Amino acid sequence: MLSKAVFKQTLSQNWKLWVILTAVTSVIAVMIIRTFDPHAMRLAMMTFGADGPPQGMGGGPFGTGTSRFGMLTIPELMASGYYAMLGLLMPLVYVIITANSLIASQIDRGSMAYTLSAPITRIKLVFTQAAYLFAALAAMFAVVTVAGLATSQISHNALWGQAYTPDVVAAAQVLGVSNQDVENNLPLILNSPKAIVAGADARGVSQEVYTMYVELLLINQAIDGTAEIMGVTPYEFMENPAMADGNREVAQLFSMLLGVDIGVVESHMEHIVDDLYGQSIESPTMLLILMNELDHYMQDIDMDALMAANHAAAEYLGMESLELMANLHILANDQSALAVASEASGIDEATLLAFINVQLAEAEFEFDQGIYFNLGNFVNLNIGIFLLMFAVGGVSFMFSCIFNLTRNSLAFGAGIPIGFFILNMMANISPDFANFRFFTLNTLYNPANVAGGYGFIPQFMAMLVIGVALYLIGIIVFKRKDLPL
Amino acid sequence: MSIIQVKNLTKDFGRGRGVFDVSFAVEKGEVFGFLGPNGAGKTTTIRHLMGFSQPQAGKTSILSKDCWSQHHRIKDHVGYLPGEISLPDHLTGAGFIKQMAGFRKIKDLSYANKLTEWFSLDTSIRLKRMSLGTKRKLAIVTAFLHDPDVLLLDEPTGGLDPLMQDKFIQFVKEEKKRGKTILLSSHIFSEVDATCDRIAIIKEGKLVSAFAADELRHNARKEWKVEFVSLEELEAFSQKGFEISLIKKEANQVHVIFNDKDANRFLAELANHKVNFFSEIKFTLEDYFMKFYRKEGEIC
Repeated sequence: MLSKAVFKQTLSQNWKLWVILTAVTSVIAVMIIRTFDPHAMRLAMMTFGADGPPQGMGGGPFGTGTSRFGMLTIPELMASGYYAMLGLLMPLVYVIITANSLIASQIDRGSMAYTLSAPITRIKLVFTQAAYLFAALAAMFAVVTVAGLATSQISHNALWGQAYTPDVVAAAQVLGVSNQDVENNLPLILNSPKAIVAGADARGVSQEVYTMYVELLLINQAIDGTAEIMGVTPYEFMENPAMADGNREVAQLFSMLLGVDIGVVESHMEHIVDDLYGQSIESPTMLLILMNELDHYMQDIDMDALMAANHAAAEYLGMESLELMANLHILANDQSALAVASEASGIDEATLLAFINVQLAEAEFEFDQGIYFNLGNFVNLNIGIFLLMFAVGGVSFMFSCIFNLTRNSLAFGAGIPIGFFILNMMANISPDFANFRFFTLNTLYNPANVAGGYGFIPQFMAMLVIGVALYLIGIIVFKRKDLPL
Repeated sequence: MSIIQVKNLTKDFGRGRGVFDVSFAVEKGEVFGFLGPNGAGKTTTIRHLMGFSQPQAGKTSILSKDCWSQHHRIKDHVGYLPGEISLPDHLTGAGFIKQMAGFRKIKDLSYANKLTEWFSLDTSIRLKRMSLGTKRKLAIVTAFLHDPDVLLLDEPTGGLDPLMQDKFIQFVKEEKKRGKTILLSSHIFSEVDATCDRIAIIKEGKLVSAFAADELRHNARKEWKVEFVSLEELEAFSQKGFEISLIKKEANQVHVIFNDKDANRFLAELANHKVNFFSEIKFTLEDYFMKFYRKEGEIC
């Protein structure tokens, strides 16, 4: 089916464009990943995320909108900007130009006469060209993926980062147990004042903040573990926590996480749901108390008063409000600034300090989370964009096979893919245009869903099938038509 | 069995363009000239022979294989020189030859080198920078690369300088001697005249005449121009019963047509009159061709 000689010719004719556009795409990906900064992200979310985090990122369960699911991971960051726009553009240009040059332009110029004057069947020729486009795209995204992974590793230590955070290492040393034991049994830290001091030092935060941070980790482990047992995503579990009621496995998990007897957990199982929402006051287990505490602060504090506190403190410290938000530890350590903020907002100092500590703890937690790199999701993002380009490229290739003139081939083979791109963009920008999504192939690739790990397999399959069908139509048309050579 | 066969080939592009019921055959070792102006259907016919186009009616075959359905099985034996030279830009001449050799799975390039030398082709230049003549030479080299038995040459000398045209004609003659079967389409009479055994004239997609070139070259009926010293002499001669095609009184000239066997009678009669000079008016392929195209008052 493949002609090696034709493939070689095509390669020698097309490699330059491939190298240029692959390099540009990789550089864009690398730059975006390099700029990734969990703290900056948090700031951005606080500034722009007043009405909740961007679509697809989910809201947090604790009222602040920034904890746990409010944080962008690297794949999610990539999904929001790169894979929805920039990362699509260069490959799109590549596919359009290459698809045209593989068939239509060679007929238009007449140079295909030489290829076909050799004993090469038309099927072999067109199939080889299609295979080239497929291989070139696959190679392009392989390079981008590798570049992205390498950058994540180099800039953020995200792939083979420290297996254990420095505080876990420090706590383990104090406790005289292995790092792994500490990670798997966080109450060990909480139960040892010495471990808390060591851990707080290692992270460079106060003991209060560090304690809260470990508690957050614990909650996180509980949610993840429960979701896994229930066979749902953490999001789905948070939407309907009642699903875990009376589940013995969940009880075991909680018992293990909290280091308490399973009987105690089981006797309180029916309260877990309520407790997660902070409505049940009486909880014997530490986890549930923690959750309540955290939520309690959030719910009782008036946002307007908080803003007033922030402004007053910022003014007192001679900082911008946003700057202060990103450096709340300054406020926590400055008694007089705290007093100013308390006076301005009418919130007593202790509550304010507690709130700040929660924020700082969340920031620590999110820092870990943001760095956390989901390799599978990142690779899936790239597989998805490859499949989209394969399907959209199928449109270009088909028209390249149908038309003998470059201008006609490009009118449709470039016009339609660009139209897809624009329709998709408009559908995403405004709900008024939401229905446009039914008229574009790009709808099948939803980077936010892929990065979040939601259902995307049917869409991927659809892109594959559509792509294959388009290429086949092109191949058949090319085999049968008259060539003006 | 004829090597190249075109049977009732019809392809209608509308508005009178295309080829209509064209039939001819080229035998082994024959050079067949395909004569006609641009747009008459020469290239369309060759496209069918190359399997680029599917006939609407009729059939084309080379070496008894159908040109459409088995095009790739013919190509090992066919060398094709397209009328329009449109080579890919990004290669050098040598690179292009190598590429074509790759397509044909030819490893030994010694024959290609011989051809390159014969046509004094510089293969180091990039195709983008080549002149039309150089590109043509390169196309010729790649068409003959595999020393094919059948050659389809579509206006092969376009862009070549007269020296190279001569060289090409020599080359075609050599190939013919080696038993190659050649279809040469052209609107240049000299190259058709110089190389072809048989000639077909195509007009508006239809074959209007097919004849052996020798018939034309050795036509016994010839036309002569005679100039007399005076008009009286001219008028006296014109009474003698020869076929007169033209009289130019102001120059005292007549055009006389007679068969070779009447040559003695003509000379004897001419001796009785005072003559300034006489000369043969050669009937060329061009005259013959023009006859077909002028019939309807057309200018080609």
